[in-house]
Amino acid sequence: MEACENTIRLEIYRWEPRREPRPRFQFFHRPWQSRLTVLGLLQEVYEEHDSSLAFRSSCREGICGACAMLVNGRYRLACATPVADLGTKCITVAPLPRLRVIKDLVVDLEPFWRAHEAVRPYLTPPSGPPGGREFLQSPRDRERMGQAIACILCGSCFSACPTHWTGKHDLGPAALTRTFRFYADSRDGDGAARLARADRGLWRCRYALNCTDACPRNVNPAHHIRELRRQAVRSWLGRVTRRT
Amino acid sequence: MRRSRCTREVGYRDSDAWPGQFKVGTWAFVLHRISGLALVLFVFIHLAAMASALRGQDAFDRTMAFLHRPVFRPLEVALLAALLFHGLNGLRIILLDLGVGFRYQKHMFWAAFALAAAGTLTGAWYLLAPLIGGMGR
Repeated sequence: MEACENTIRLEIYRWEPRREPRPRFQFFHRPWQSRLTVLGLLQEVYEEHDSSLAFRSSCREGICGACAMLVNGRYRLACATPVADLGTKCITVAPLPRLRVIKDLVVDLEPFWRAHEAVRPYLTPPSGPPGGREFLQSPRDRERMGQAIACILCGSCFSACPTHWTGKHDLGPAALTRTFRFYADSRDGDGAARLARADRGLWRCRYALNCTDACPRNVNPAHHIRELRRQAVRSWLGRVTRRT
Repeated sequence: MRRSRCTREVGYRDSDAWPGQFKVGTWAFVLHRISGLALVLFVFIHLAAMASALRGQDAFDRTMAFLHRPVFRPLEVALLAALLFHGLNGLRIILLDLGVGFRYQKHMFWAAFALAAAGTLTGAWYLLAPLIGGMGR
């Protein structure tokens, strides 16, 4: 491997499955500049060299989750990754693994969104807001949702989860984290039904904790899955003891 | 920026096989599965061997004589390895399910792995030494 002194050596995964039999890596070199982000590099390639490069991006401030990809083997948001943070001037960019590549860095997130849709990721209050105005939440109730609220649905955990690799009908960490987020929300009134909907994915987790490792937003999906399991066991015990 | 003429072909079709993806958690998951399947397979073999007793003492003795062949010793070592790893990693999973040690899950995996390896090596010494020493029972 060539040294990258004062030069950024960018290596981009390129593949158009409809036309090319197999993927390849394309190389670019540019003078080092510490204030660039990985997304900036991709945009530079797109604008100045090869407009056939496909990648997703939108907000450029790490809040939309569109530009999640593997940067030097780690899950990162390209827009929120300054090249200076990588510790190397050789940068390899690849799409999220274990998802079908549509073109270059763009993968098919259909299974991810399907799982997300299945858990009904929206607030279902039991009745209208008190006084007809708005739902209030105390800071303490907000605390119960923890970091789960920070998920931006980038798909990194879904791509990293080995349970999802082996089961096509699995919900995956993001959908379960979203379930927890609404389950723990004091304004939501759909708790029991949420647990029931999550049931098919909830018990398949084997704590590989790849999701926690992968999350570029420091969410800990495994922790939320554990908490949901605890609640599920608790509600089951409640039902059983009430019956007898 | 300048574009290099050279490109590197990738051998695999998907971006699945990134070596970087084989992190601690993935190893824990894969090894747990493999050892679990191996243990299920063993239970069936074990049941079949025990069931031969239903066909009389002779049949059972023949099965036992067959299973005492040196060929099976390494398999016993593999069984020991699967049992130890699956059990110890199972403890790790139970602890995580109880909410203990999320921060130390990697250390816990390595501890389970190291203990299983140590146990397997010790067992292998006892199981294989008679074979190597030529003093087979």
